[in-house]
Amino acid sequence: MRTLKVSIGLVLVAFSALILVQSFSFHYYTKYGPGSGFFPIWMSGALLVLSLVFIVEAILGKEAKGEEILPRGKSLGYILASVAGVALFILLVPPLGFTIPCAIMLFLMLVGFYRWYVSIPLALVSSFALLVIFQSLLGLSLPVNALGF
Amino acid sequence: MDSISGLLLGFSTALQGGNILFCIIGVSAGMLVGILPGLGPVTAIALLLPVTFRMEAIPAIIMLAGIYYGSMYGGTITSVLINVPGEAASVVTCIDGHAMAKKGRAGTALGVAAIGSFIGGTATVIGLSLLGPPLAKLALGFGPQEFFAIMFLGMTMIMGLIGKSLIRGMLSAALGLTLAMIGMDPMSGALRFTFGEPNLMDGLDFVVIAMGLFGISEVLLGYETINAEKRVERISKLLPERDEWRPTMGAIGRGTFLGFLLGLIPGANAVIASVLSYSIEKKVAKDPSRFGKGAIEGVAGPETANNAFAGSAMIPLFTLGIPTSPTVAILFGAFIMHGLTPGPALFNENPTLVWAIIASMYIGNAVLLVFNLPMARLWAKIAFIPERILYPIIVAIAVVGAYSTSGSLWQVGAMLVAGVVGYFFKKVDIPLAPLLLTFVLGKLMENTFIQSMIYFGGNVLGFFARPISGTILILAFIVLGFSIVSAWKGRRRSLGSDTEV
Repeated sequence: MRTLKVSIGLVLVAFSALILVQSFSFHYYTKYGPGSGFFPIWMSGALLVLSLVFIVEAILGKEAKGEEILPRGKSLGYILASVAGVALFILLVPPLGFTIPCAIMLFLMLVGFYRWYVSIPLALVSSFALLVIFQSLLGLSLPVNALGF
Repeated sequence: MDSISGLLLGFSTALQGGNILFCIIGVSAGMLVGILPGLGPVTAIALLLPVTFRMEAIPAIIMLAGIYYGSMYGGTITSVLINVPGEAASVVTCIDGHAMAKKGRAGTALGVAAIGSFIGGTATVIGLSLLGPPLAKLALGFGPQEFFAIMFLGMTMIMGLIGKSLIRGMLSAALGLTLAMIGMDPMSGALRFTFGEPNLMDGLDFVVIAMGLFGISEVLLGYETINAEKRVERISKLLPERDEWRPTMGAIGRGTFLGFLLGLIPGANAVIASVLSYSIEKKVAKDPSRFGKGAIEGVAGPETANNAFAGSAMIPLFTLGIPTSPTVAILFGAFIMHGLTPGPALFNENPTLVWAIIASMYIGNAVLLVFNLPMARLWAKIAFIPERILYPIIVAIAVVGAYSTSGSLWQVGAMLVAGVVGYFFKKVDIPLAPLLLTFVLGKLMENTFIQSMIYFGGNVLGFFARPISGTILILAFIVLGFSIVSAWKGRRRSLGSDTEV
C-alpha cells in the first residue's frame, strides 16, 4: 500500500506543479482586486504542499502487512474487464455506433460469470434495450451509426 | 408568501398527475439505491440527471429529491437483513438491526426504522416549511462576504469530520478546488488550464466527475468481494412489543432533533447524524449493555436521525443556495442544469417550484411509509439481485449518462479516469466527499472571495469587520484548530467514514 500512496502522491505533486506553473501566467492581482491567477496559485500551492506531506506520511508511517494494492485472480479480471470495456466503448463508438460497442462492453463484464452463449445474447439484448429506453423513450441522443443503431 | 399559502400552492402543484408520478418514481428509485449495496444517492441522482434534461424543472427536481430521502429509508433493509449497509448512513443500523434479525425480530427492526424515518422526515419538512421563508428573507441581506464565510465553514467542517486523516481530507478539498479552476474564469473570461482541449472550456462536468468518483469506483471495489455469500434473515412481526414503544419513541424524538440540527450545519452529513444518534442512545439507555445485542433504540434513533438530516439539509440549499453535503451538491447541480439558481431569491422568484418540492416531500415520506411497512417484504426481495447483473447495468447507464451531458465521448473517458482515481483514493483512505463538495463550490467560492476583496479594497481583514461573516469565519478557524489539535494528539476519531450522503 505504501507504493500506491507514494505513487498517488507523486502524481498529485506533478499535477499541482503543472497548474501552479501555469497559474503564474495569469494576473495575480489587478488594480480592482485579486486576478484570475490568485485563487489557482493558492489552491495548487496548497495541493502541492499537502501532496508532499502525504508522501512523507506514507514513507514514515507503519506499513500494514498483507495488504495488496490490487486483488488477485478472478476479482482482478472482473475489474480489468470493466475498465477495458468502457475504454473499448470509447474507441469503437465512432466507427460502429452505439449498440455494438455497448454490447461488447457488457459482454466483457458478463463473460466472467456466465458462459459465452449466455453472455452474448444477454449483452446484445441489454444494449438494444438501453438504446430504445434512452433514445426513443427518454429522448436523449446517443452516438448511433448511419444505420440508426 | 407565508408558509400556509405557500404549502397550499405547493400541494396544488405537487398533486398534479405528472408531478405525483415523478415523486413516486423518485422515492422508488431512492428505495432501490438504498437497498442495493454499491449504489448510493450521489451516483443515483447523477445517473438519473441526464434523463431529466428534457423534462420540466418541477417534476425533475421532485424526482431527484425523492431519490435522496428515499435512499435513507431503503438503506435500512439490507443493513438489517443481510448485515450489509445499502448506503453509508445505515452502517450503524447493522449493529443492532442485524442482531435483532438474528433473534427473529427483523420485521420489528424494519418497522421501527420505517416509523422513525417517517416521523424524522416529516418533522424536518415541517421545519423547512416554517423556517424556509424567514431564513430566506434573512439571507437576502447577505453579501458575497457572508456566502464565502459559510462555504469556508462548510469546507473546514467536512475536512475536519470526514475520513481518517486531516491531511488527506485537506488534500481532497484542495484537489477539488484546483479542479474547479479548470475552464473559463467567470470574472475575467480568461481560459484557464484547458491545455488546448475544447471540451475543458466549460470546465470538468460535475455529473461526470460524481458518477466516476462515486459510481464507477464503487463498482470496481465491489468486484473485489463479489463472491461473498449473502444470508438473508426472514421478516416477521413489524411492530414493537407494548413495553418497547416508550423507549422507541424517545429515541425517535432525539433522533429527529439531532438530525434536524445537523442538517443545518454546513459540512455535516447523514452518517454523522446516525453515528451520533447511536452513541447518544447508548449513553441515555438504562442498560447500555443491551446495545449490540439487538437494542431497539439502536435502530430507531439512527434511522430517524439520518432521515431528519436529509430533510433538514434542504434548508441551507433552499435558503442560502449552498449545498452542505455531496448529495445535496448534486441536487444543487440539478437546479443549475434546469436554469434555476437555488438560494434566497428562489422563494420570491419561483414560489411554485419551491413549494411544490417541499409539498412533494410530505407526499414522498407518506409513500415511503407505505413502502416500508406493509410492503417491506416485497422490497427486501430486491436485495437478492446479484451484483454480477447489477454492475454491468450501472456501468452502462453511467456511460450513457456521461455521454449525454454534452454529446461527447470525451466525457465518458473523463468519467472512467475519475472512476479509477476514486478507486485508488478509496484504497488509501483519501476521502472523496470533500473533493466533490469543493469541486461543486469552487468557482462560487472564488467569485465571492474576489468580490469581497474588491469590496474591502484588498484588505482580507474586512471579513471580520462584518458581524455575520466574521463570526462564521472565526467558527471555521476554531473547527480547523480543533481538527489540527486532535490530529496532532492522535485522538482523531472518524465520525463519518468517507461517504456520499
